[in-house]
Amino acid sequence: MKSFSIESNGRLENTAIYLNGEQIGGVKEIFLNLDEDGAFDAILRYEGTDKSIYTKQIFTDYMENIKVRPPAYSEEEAENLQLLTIESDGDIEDTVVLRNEEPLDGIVSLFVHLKNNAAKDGGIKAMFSRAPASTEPIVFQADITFRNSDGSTEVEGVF
Amino acid sequence: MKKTNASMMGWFFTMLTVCSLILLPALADAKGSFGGSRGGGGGRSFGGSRGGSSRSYSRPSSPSYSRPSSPSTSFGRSSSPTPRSSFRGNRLNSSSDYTRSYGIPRQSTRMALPNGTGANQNYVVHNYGGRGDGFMMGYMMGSIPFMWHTPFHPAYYYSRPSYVTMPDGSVEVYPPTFSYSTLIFTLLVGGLIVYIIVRIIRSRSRAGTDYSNSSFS
Repeated sequence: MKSFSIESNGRLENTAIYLNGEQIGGVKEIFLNLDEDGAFDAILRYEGTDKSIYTKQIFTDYMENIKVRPPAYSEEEAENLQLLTIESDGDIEDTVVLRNEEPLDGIVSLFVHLKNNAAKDGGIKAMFSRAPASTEPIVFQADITFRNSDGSTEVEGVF
Repeated sequence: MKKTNASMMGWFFTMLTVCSLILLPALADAKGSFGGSRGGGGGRSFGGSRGGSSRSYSRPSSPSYSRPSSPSTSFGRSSSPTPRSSFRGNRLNSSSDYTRSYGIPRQSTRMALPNGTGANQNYVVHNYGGRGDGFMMGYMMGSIPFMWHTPFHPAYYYSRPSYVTMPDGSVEVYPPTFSYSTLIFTLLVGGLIVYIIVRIIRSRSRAGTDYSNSSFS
């Protein structure tokens, strides 16, 4: 069972990703789509230590050449951030979602999409690159849908 | 993407508009400089009254320009059978090469200027009544301001004067003509420079966010 955590205040530049307790770097995109009907999409796209771009299933694939970096935030700094943790082996039945280390229940679906399309630098290459001109240079969406005791559903933002 | 492109196009057209406004007088003058009917008035005849077919040109007592110390020629022919013009004009084979395109000059003035050897060189200066006449005289003075070489001065968009060396040794000088290719080239280069600057500024502002603490890069 793997542990995957996202610590953030809702801004991509203040977002730390942890895999089994270690902060990773070079992340380009995270896509999580889990629901009670069995959907389980957990995809991580990252730049490896060899500068190649990898796309992996978070809970089932081996993270090849992934960058591991020192923790960016102290405990005091982390107090201002929300921590979303998913512990799973790739099966929705064996998946636990925690927010600020508190297990959540009654989840109908979890949707997280974080993506950074912004230019890395202002050089000549970036200037003529089409990527920075995207209409969505940064995507930051993280919602959890809960089922209330009366049967109604409620969507909450995570961060 | 569309928004960015639209913004870029906006910048480019703004640049074009500004350049067009700057150059509008030159363009308007260029239309009126050559061709059309003769004697319409309104053109520049470069001072003095029009008294006859020939006119002597009096040089200022203390010229502000400096002549080369020992040039082989001034402009036109002096001692060499194939002279080099000091104003590096466009040498024509015959007057008809010019008059075929721009018509008969409004005024022709004969003047004598000393060349490098001290002898007088006869020139026939043809005026068409446009801005090119002024530029022609400027070039003939031998020293032109630096601004004339920059796109901020209308002279930049004109060619050099054209001249024809006659069999009797005199030189006929025709005014510079407006160069649309220079204008278009300058606008393209200016637009490209503005485009690159805007892209650099935008890409830097976009990359200005600090991702040092983030797992994203």
